[in-house]
Amino acid sequence: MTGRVIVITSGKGGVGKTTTSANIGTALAKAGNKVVLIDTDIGLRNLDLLLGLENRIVYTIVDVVEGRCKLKQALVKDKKNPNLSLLAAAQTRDKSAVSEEQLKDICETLKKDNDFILVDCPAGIEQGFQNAVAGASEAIVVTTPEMSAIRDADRIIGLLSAKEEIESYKLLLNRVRPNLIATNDMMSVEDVVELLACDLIGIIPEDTGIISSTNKGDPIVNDEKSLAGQAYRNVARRIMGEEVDFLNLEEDKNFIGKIKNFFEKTIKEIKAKI
Amino acid sequence: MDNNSIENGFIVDLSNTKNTSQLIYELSSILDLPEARNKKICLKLGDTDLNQSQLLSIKALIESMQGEIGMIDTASVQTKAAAENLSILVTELKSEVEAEQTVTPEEIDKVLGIVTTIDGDDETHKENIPLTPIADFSEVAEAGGLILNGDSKYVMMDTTGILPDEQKNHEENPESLPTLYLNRTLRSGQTLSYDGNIFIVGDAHPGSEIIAKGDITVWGILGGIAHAGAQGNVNAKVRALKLNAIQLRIAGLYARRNDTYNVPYVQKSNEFTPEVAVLENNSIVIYKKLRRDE
Amino acid sequence: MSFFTDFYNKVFSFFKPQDISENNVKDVARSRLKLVLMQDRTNLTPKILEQMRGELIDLLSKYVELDKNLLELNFEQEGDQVALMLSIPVIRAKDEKEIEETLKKEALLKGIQLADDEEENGEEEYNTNEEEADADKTSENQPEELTEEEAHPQDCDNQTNDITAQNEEEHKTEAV
Repeated sequence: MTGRVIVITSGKGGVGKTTTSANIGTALAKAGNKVVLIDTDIGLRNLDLLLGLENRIVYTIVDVVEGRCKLKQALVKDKKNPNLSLLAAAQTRDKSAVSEEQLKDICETLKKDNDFILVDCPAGIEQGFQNAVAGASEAIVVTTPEMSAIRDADRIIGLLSAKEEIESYKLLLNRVRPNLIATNDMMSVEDVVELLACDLIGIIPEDTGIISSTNKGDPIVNDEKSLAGQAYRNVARRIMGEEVDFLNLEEDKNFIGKIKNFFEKTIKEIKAKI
Repeated sequence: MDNNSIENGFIVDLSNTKNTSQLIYELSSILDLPEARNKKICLKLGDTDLNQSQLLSIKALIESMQGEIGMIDTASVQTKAAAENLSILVTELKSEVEAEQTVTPEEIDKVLGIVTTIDGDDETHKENIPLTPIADFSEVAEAGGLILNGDSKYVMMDTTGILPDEQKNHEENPESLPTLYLNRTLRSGQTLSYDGNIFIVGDAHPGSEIIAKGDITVWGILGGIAHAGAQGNVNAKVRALKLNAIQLRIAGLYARRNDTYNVPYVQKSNEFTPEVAVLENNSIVIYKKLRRDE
Repeated sequence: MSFFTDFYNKVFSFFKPQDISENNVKDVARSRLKLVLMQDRTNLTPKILEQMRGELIDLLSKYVELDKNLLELNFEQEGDQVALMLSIPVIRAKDEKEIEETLKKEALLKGIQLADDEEENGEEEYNTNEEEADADKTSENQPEELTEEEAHPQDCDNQTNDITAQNEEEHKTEAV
């Protein structure tokens, strides 16, 4: 099989790259795909924490490229899902420990027996970013509806579009707060899409559950009730090529609107089943 | 406390205290803090058993220190009943850190010799190898020795092929090695490696790595990775005031913190009892006190 | 610092002529971002944009009478290409005579340019200094593609590089 290599990047730090990587990876694996997550944030690794795998890491990507272990030995299997594995970054080294070529090679090798390889990119546009992008043919740009995050996302989109290897890049809008959008205190999804002129792959609502899921080391997609979890599952389905409507985050205030919404949803579901 | 949220509350966690006198001592020292004044005190009592009169005196203590008892979080049936008699609000939340099970001697007999599945990534290593998981310290004290229990604080990992062939297991007295003495905190991302023993006065934070040819001694909280006898010396030991290492490695054997105990940071306390990890019968075993005869 | 802020706001106001209600944080953010992104994509600073706008007005007003305050300068991105969109509300096209007159005056002014450099016209002083200082280093920066809407200047070569002369010329034109 030939897997797809998708880099998850943002430019700005703290917008949710790692959370997104962990959740999309978990969701894709839950849907039956073989997935490898690669943490390329060498020196500041965190993906292992979000997956609750930090105590299992013996070898890292640096050990692989420096020949201390085989690639297979360094892949840490997820606790819950055997389809998902993690290639962790080293905590005690820096970005220069791995080169673009080496990352490319790793991606090429992993492609052979995995459906998806998700590369969690470090913040910034320096060597760490260049390395992470090197092996990828698709990109997901994570941003939030904030000035600085959008500006940085624009920069990243510019850099990605200049790269020949990147065949497609999509925007994932994280931490959307419908109540703030309703009061015109936050830019709407449409505003951001218009400003960045980039296709959307997902809208993730702000969810306090993310904090507790991070603390537990259990991605929020495993929580069936969470709205953010649902949104991430939808992103995974879109990556797999399904057409999924975006979640309606703006709640209709009046009763009739709610009923209408409910019926529309039900009809859609019935249609989908047929 | 999602459902029974209390305004102006102040949570006091006493779930780690071992007896009533210690509990009252801790409580009074916490209530002495200015932040606790005029607050509704929420007590986390863990599984401490308290009767009605003990609870009444705790209530009186709180009131004497300008507080008010808000609610009690307990896992003990007796405490719960007593609180209900005194019409104090009770919740039965499981403490965030996995409730420590008290192990009776019968249970210990039962779990001795248990076969624990090792943590293999590769499917070829699926066969079960009898391993001795590391005991939880609270249980060690009760049994007066090592305990085997699937729910232990550490789990052995599959270490097949981890040590290079040239580093064969060997016995060497760490006393004959030189010692590196450090008086500092080791932070995330820092690696300390030395061809001898390492002695650190300070904490080793999660994300740090200590690799020594001989023993590792941390006079503080050990939260990172510690690899003693890194060149195969099976006599090497890891010692710390509080062993919370994410992974303990001695010679060619690795153990990871059990998922249920996987808390990166432990609270500082002045009541830590030193712990030592040694190799016994091809597994890593932790003792709560440093033995003289070692 | 406040000098720069003023300047920024001034430029900013060019791209959003209508009043933005202060309560609408979303729109403020949107328009600020629009400007910032445009600068990022084109490497044009607010100063250069201001200068470019000024020069365009000067040039075009030789041929048409236009509403300077409503002139809009925007960048639009389609794929890899950035297009400069210029929207100019034309009040009235000048007839040939007027244009000739203006051009003559300009030529005349060129002759006596900088003769009274010290005594500058008060209201334009700010811009003039700013532009003079920047004229040299910024002249290299050009947008990738120029698309002009509504206005079609025929002879761009006539554009003078001397800003002082331009400004004076502009005043004369207004008086006509």
